[in-house]
Amino acid sequence: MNGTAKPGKLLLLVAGFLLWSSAFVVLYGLQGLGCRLGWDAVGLGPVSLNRGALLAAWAVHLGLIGFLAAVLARRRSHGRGTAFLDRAGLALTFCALVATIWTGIPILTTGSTCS
Amino acid sequence: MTDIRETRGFPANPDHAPDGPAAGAPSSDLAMRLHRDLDRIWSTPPGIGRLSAVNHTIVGRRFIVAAFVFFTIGGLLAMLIRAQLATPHGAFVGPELYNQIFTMHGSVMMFLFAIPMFEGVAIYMLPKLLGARDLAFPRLTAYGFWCYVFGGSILVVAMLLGVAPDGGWFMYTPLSSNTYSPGINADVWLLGITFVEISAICAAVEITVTILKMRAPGMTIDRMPLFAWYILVTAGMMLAGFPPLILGSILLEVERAFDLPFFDPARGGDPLLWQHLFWLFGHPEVYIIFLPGAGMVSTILPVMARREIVGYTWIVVSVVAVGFLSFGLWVHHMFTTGIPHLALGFFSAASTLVAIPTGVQIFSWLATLIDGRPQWKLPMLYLFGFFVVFVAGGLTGVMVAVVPFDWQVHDTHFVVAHMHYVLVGGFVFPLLAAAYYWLPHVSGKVARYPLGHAAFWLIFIGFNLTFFIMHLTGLLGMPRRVFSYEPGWGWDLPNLVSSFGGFLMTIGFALFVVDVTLHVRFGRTAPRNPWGASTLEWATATPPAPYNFASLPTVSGRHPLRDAPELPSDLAGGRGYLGFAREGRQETLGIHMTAATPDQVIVLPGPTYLPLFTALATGIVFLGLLFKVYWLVPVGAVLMLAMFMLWTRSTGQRRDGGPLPIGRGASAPVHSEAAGAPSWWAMVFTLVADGVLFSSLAFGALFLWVSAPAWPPPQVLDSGWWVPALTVAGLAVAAVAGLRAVAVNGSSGASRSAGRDFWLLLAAAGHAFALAWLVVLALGTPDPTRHAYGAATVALLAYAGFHAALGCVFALFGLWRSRTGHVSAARSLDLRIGSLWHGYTAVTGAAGLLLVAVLAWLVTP
Repeated sequence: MNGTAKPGKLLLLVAGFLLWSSAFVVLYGLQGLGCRLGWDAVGLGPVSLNRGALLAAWAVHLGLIGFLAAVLARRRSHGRGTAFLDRAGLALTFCALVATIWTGIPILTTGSTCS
Repeated sequence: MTDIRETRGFPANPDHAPDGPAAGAPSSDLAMRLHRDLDRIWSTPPGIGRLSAVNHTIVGRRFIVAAFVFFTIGGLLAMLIRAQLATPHGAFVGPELYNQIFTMHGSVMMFLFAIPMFEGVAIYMLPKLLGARDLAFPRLTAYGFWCYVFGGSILVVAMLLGVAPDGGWFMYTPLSSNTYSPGINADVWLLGITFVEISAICAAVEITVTILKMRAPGMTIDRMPLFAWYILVTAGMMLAGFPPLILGSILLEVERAFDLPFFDPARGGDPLLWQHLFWLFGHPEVYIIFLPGAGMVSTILPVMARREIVGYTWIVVSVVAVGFLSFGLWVHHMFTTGIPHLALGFFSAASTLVAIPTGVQIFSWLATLIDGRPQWKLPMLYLFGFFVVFVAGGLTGVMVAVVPFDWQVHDTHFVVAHMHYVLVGGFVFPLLAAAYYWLPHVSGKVARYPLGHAAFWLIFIGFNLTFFIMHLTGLLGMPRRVFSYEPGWGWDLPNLVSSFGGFLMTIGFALFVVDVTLHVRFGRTAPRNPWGASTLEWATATPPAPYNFASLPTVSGRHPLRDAPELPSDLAGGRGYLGFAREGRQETLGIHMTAATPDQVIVLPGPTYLPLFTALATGIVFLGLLFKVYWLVPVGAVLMLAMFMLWTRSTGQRRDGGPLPIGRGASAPVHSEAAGAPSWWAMVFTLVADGVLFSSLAFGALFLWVSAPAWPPPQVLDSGWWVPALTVAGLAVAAVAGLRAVAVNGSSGASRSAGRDFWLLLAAAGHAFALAWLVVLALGTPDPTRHAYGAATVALLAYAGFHAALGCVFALFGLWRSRTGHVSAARSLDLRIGSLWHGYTAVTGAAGLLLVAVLAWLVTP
């Protein structure tokens, strides 16, 4: 290690995947909620309100994880924390970003959101 | 080097001088005296006194032996299954008994073998690998062990009495509901397994705290053995994975016992809620079982390959990624339940994704082998078995992750085969490799006879005969859990081959038992570190002393024994940290989580019967519930509470000790005077698990509103706004008072004690006030047996009420500890732990009441 970090910095290792977890739960919950409230039948431009809400939630999470990845990349380039925490934290955040993209793709590819 | 204190710079202050070796004596005499002193302090009494054992080496060994006994029971049940299915129209057992047999086989293997076995290995190995003398909470280890044995015994005794669970190891409702399972069988599962799960939560908390806080000085997280990383992630997964099942079990038992219809679709419940709660646990469970096995592989394989593991950081990244992704797979078991395709897509995507970090680990291991100089020794043979079997299981896992394929093979023997390939490949083969790898450590002996090789080939060939063929049986359409089948459907031969293979495998396991017995009984004395490993467990004596290390090491890399081959003798000679016996106390070191510098002396409790008695009191609660003798339940609960209170008698101090010398010229405060004491962190992680349980309950309530039929309910809670507001106010007062008590306690004013006691009393009063209003709210809730809405509302209120009641206990306990001199400005641990509880109770109480209000609003026409 080329330095020390506060115990709270260990959270940087899992921050990206905590956001992925949030994305996963929100997408699944929102899909069910939208179906319960009939959003699938409500139009929102070219998509239904349900799909629009899902796309928005997905985009917000992608933005948050992307932002986190950028912060960690800058932090690593400045050598602020420990080499291992920075490297592993950045790698995990990048993995979380890819995971969020991959798990959200069905929003773009399925027909109805409720059948 | 005649005086350890002189050579290592112990301060000469006689007030702080430990009972160390006398100056001027020869170093070997000093070392012998040190070992005698430590042995006297750390040893467990013989005879009946063994029941008071809390030492991790002893309790870990007991976990392993008990888990193996349960494995044997589960294996015998598997043989009964194979005997029944060997031929069409098998007349070995009837359908009722067969249902019990396959249910018990799955339950025993999952809950009574796999998880406890990994816990046992972790409990035994972790402190040694990390360079500590014990786990953070030895009494909790022992309590968990007794809960495990008692809970498991409930299941086994029920089986012997013919009333074992018979609804499948995942106990789907409505089959397991009262209507279709009116006897005691399902209750045995729900209560027995929940009893066992106490040990899992205990183990998860203490493993997490031990890894984060009790590593050897210098062992920064990037120097941790990979096994510790795997176990850390596994423990974290247990904290998040077990609470949903515990909640599901409680809700189903409450439905069965008191008719609250959480899962009854006719009254607003939903059987799918059980499936969600079960698989929220059940799928991560697969990885909870696999990751420790992979940790063993990552530990043993580099030693066998005589090369440092390739891609340490990437393995850590992969393990953490698997830990998270495995939670996104739970609906993968529910693809045929009619869930919308889009939702299936989320889970299918996550299911395929998890293969990638798993694959990264496999390629790291292969690269290590390719670039190393592998030795074809016995542990390596079992690792070969692991590679073949687990990779095949992983590939079929990707197949069933794809929805259309899963629809074809759902509930067939294909899935049974896949599951066994993953679990036996991912856990049992690495475990057998680990058994042979660490047996010299446990027994101090090396094998004299090569029976292990024959055992391997019997197990390996038998396993593949059984389960490879079973894939085909499944593809031919044979459903799982059927006790008989017709001849001529193409299932005869594959079933016969599977049964033959099963018996071959059993002979292999029997040979393994014989081999281990011969090894322990007739083995030759093992040299220290027979494999040439570089991890710290081989720096102990073999078999290890109860204190592991006579003094604690300093670590400067990932390979302490390779970096410093003289380390074992240095440690044995007392030339590390804490190389002395002080005031007859069991001492080990706590460190800063990331910097790994010593920051506290952790004083551990010695042997005591309290864990056993507390587990017996816990057993009274569970037996009272099982046999519906409900007056026994509060009796047991009060006894439990009293026992836990007795645990605190030997903790803490009545005067400030200040920094104590720890050797090597350093000093550190005792843990009760340190900021990040293990018990404070334990409360943090306990609350994490508690938070997951609360989130699962909130999810359940909302899920019923979203998905369950027969909504809206006929009646809705109409409490107005002021009763919930008063309740939240009471909880908020308690939380603020808890914080103020800590703050005032740390101040230097003349009224410090009085102020602190006032705030603690106020915290207790706040909780009591909130509890009273929660009772009022619960009494005003529409009949909870009429509709799941009422049941969910009562559950949320009960959750808040339980926490408020315990909040009272915490506040009054803090007051008692303060009045008895256990609390000072420097010693505020009891208050800080209580404050965490008060804050958590306020947050979840407010969230729970908000959810109650939102639910009422949502269902009001």
